[in-house]
Amino acid sequence: MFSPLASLLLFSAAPADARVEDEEEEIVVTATRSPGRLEDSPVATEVLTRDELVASGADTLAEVLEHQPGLQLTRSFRGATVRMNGLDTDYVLILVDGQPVQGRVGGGIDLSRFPIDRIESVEIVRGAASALYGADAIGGVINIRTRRAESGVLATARVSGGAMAGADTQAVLTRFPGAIPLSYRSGGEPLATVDSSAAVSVGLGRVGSWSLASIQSTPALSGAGGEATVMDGQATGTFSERVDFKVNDDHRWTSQVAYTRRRQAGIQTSGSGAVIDSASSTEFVEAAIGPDILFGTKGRLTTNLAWSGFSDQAFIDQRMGTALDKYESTYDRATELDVVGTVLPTEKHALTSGVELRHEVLETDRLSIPQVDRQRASVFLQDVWEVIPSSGSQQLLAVGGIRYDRDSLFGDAWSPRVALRWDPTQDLVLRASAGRGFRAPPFKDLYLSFVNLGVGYRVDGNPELEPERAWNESMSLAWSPTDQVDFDISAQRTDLTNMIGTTVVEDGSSGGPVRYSYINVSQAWTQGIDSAISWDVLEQLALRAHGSLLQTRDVALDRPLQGRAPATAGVGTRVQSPSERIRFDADYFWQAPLPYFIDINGDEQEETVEAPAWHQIDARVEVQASACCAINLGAENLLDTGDQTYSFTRPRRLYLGLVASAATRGKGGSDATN
Amino acid sequence: MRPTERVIWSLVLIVGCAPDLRDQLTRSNGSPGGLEDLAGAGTLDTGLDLTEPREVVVDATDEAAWHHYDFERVGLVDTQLPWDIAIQRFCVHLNGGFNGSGGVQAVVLEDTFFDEVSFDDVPPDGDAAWITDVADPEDGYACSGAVFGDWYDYDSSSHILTPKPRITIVRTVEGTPVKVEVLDYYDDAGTSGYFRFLWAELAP
Repeated sequence: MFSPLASLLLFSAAPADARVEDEEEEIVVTATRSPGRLEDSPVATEVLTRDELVASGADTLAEVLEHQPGLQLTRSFRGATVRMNGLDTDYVLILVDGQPVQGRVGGGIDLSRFPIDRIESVEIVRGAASALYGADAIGGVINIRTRRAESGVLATARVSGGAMAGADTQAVLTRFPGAIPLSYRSGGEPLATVDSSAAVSVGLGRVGSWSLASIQSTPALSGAGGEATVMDGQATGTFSERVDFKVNDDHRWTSQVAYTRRRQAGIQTSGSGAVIDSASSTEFVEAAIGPDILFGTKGRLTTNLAWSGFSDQAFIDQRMGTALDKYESTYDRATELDVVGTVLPTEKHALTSGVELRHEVLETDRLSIPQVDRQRASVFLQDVWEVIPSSGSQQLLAVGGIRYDRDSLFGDAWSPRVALRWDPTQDLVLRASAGRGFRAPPFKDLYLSFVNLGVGYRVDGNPELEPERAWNESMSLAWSPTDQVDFDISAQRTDLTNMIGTTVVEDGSSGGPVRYSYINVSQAWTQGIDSAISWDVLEQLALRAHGSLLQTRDVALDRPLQGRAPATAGVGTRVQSPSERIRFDADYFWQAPLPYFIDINGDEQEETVEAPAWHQIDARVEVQASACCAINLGAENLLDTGDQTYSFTRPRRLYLGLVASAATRGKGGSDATN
Repeated sequence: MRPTERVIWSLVLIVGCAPDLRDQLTRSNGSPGGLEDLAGAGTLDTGLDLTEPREVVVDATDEAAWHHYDFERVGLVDTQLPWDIAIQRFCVHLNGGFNGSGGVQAVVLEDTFFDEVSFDDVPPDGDAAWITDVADPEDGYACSGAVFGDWYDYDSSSHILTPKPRITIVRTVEGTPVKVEVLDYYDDAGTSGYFRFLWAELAP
């Protein structure tokens, strides 16, 4: 068995074919920004493996995260975003292979834009992680790790019926292994070659919108007729490629490009009786390249140059009128260079340090100036200290880290973190951590210019805003009394200060509209407990259950944060045939009523209203019909329950999927190059 | 071509910019209709029976412009004439008190219906029930000092204004008592700023 520190280096430059396939040897990177075995991680990390992603029956990341303990999915016209530990999506950092994702709409990254077929695994680290990742990592970090090349060709197709009828052919994965000449001599002889492999994924999907009545779907993309829609119909095209070059065993390069284009259309109604046809066209581009170099057993150096762009057009057309017509375009792009090094100065310490340089530009007609940009330089240092080595029955790891961010708009931010991991026995792991997080004031809050003529107010950004700050503490216990049973329980608390809220800066007495702006004024806290248990009762039967409790408080208003579920729970089972050719999964989820604060009787006081409790049953069966082909059949929200007034829950949806592979598929495993 | 080059070139072909939505979609521009033409008024003696209820829609969609209405002239007038009420978006001023020199006053009758208000409800001159516009108190909301400052209920989630069930008796510059009910703030297309009200002179 390797020591936890040595594992930071051991897997880094392993050849792709030697990927570790044992689930217990899962490699994770998010907790420490350096690859290590999941079981050795000093900071608790939840991993959704490729198998689990597929078995969930989801088409996008959004549906997968919907039922994770401690996470809450919120849906709107513009997509699905996630809350973590009761904190809004603005406080959750979304990464793709370690790089922050561009394109926050309404504060959040739309998780429905990531098709499952592009994802190898998802790592979730809860709690403040600004000591490693900087801005926005307050509620936690979700790192999407993309799929590597696999042998052969894999195609999936799926049709679905019900409220969101649609069809998609999501992925074709191909591997082109071989030697690529780097350069040529004059005679045509290659000077040097590298081993390479490439994964290319192409997807096309179309999903019907779901209507307010949640009974029948409306014609997506038609823009005429039909009922008002809760979620717009959409057509999505994706293309991604990832190329891995192996110069030698200690020197590898990875490059990847992903492009997604999505067109959405739906019909909205307003309380004033206005009927509005809305359409949007969104593009995402992500590109990255960089080497991963191992220096024997002494250290490693990873460099990554990434560029990401987000372009969005929104077209609003009021029927029978033009007053509400609107066209808005947004173009947001960022360039980032990261250099991260890990060294083992002694047997008991692993030092990870890094430098990040980031430049971000936003162009949109919603801002008071047409283009804004910011630069940020960051350095971080982290020490993982093996206080009590793992050779005995006990083990104790301590982590200390600090990061400094210097931003051209908001100035300085220091983010420290300490964490402890203690294994008092072989089957018990206790963890505790405390850290500081911050959220950079977004461009919108700094420079927004928005006028609502309907009720005569305008909102202007405030360029003087400071970052929001947070302290987060967490404790967790993981217990595996037998090989068949795993039990986890964790507790979290986050205190947010300096939160950005709105204030009246001009009361309208001069005859103009009331003018609002943003200031650092609010405070809030959240605290919660999450637990999960899984039990492999028999080889063919597994049971799982989870439950969460959450308390939140808006300190200024002295009431809970709205829309947070104070309690959630779920149970599930998997039954499979002895040959594992037939597999059945079923899950039941429950969510307590959600509190909302809305002035429903017009007395200018907000009353408490509750979105009703929500029960959902999902079921799925998959049959491996032959070596090449599998078929799956599933139902989402089988009871067709939920609330369409406050918290949009997806109505019942049935789907039938086909998976065909033309050659052997590599079993889903992780690699350490990200 | 090498596989990697193939990948790169196919990518270059695919990653074009998405077309401009404005070139692909056409707007619907029809008028909602139902709006009265209020131009042309101006004479004091219109010959009309002012006790007949009249429904009026004022296009007050402009953010800055004030539209002045005179009850006796049954229409919009410019500020040279003795107007009675002025409307800008959802703000309504009287030509009296803080907002005008015409001496217009008003009485607010809550939870009643237009047809139930008669001349008997008009207080005598000098009665304390008559009020007029005052300066906006410092509560941060425009028009809150006006008699019509809170004609609506505001839904903070949908941002929709709904008229309160009230009738306002307005005594015009010329001293004529008229009853006024605000009916709506939206046209048939759902556009805000179309101020719709019903009025009639109260005669003995």
